Order: sequence, then C-alpha cells, then structure tokens
Amino acid sequence: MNQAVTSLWVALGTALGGVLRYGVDRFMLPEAPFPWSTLVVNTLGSLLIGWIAGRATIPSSRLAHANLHAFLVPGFCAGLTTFSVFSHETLALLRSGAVAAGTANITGTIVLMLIGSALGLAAGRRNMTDRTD
Amino acid sequence: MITEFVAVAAGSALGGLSRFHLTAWIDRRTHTPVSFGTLTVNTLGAFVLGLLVGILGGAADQPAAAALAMTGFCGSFTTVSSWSLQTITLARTHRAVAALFNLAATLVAGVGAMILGLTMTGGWQ
Repeated sequence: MNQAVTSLWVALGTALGGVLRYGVDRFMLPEAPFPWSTLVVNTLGSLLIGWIAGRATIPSSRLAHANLHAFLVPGFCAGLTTFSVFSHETLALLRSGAVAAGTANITGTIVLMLIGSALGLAAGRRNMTDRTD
Repeated sequence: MITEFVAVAAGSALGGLSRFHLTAWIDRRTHTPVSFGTLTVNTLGAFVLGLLVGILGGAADQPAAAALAMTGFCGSFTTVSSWSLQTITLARTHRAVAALFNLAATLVAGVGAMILGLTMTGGWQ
C-alpha cells in the first residue's frame, strides 16, 4: 500500500514536471537554433533538487516527508529535467556541423547543472537549525 | 495543442514510474557510490529515444505520438537533476574520481546508446 501511494506521488510529480518542460520548450524561443529551453529546465531542476536535498537533511522539515519527497525529487525534478532530449539535441547540433554549439551545450549543461545543485544544496542547508519548513 | 499536453503528461507519468522503480531495483543490488540505477535509465532512455527518432521522425510528422513517447516517456524516464545531485554528492564526500566517472560515463554511454538506437532504425544517415 505504501509503495503504491509513493508510486502515485512519483507519477503525479513527473507528469507535472514533464508538462512544464514541454510548455517551456513550446513557448521559450521555439525557433532558436540552440536548445535554450532544455538548458533552462535542466539547470532549474538541478537547482531545485539541491535545495530540497539541503532542506531534507532536517528531520522536522516537511521536505523530509516521504510522499512530498517522492512527488518533488524522483517526480517533479526528474520529470522537469531530461538527459535523453539533451543528448538528442546535442547530437543533432554536432551532426549538422554546429560543432561549437554542440560542445557549448555539453559544457554549459554540465557546468550549470553542477553549479545549480551546489548552490541549491548550500542554500537549503543554511540556518537549518532554526528553520522547520 | 491540448492533446499534446495530455500526451506529454501521460507519457511522463509512465516514464517517471518506470525510472523510479528500475533505479531503485538496480541501486538495491549494486550498493556503489555511483548510482548505476541513474546511469542505466539515462543510457536506456537515450537508446530508446534514438530508436524512436528513427521510427517516428521529427516531432512535426506525428505530434501526438512524439509528445507521448519522445517528450513524455523518454524525456521523463531520464533525468539530469539526479545525475547532477549525485555527482555533487560524490565530489562533496571526497570521491572526485567517482564524480568524474559519473559525468564521463553518463555522457559517453548516453550518446553512444543514442547513436546505436538511431542506427538500428535508420535515423542515422
């Protein structure tokens, strides 16, 4: 039963994250030759997962609760971000001869996702003794 | 337009569920600092997306099918957020080599799997 409830939260969170990713892709610079929208969702999702991980270290935090965590982490953050689409867009750039743009997409994604997670984690852990959100 | 958003939601929910359970299943059996669960879903998802690009073509040809299977299922079956957080966690716990391995292995395996998928369905020409 518990596992079924967790699965439901993961499915809901992923659906919401995936729809938001699709919305950003449809409406943010849809004609741009560079895949900005994927870079943006991957950076935002990495920032958010870091912040949640920092917050969730406090047992009294609501974010340490299993269902909310399932909804947000393997759900929303993982659905918002995507490795497969990033790979496809990078490969498409490289194959079309846009080698600089393809390389920039790989470098930019890795640098921004890591900075995002590190900053999110640091922000989430701040004042962790006197905050209980 | 609405059809595509609904298709993305359905594909994402299914992709997310599959990712969650497969990752947990693999990580329970490997017990390594690097999450082979995340590495596997990202590689597998890139492979399947490669297959689908060859089968379905661009999103313009079959928008609903592409929204369901490519943007929805494959997009949500794979993850950058977990990959990123797990890499940062490895680096913070002084496992620099494992962190670098996690970055490089995911990129090489993912792009390699996608090329394989594309080749198998005629998407690589």
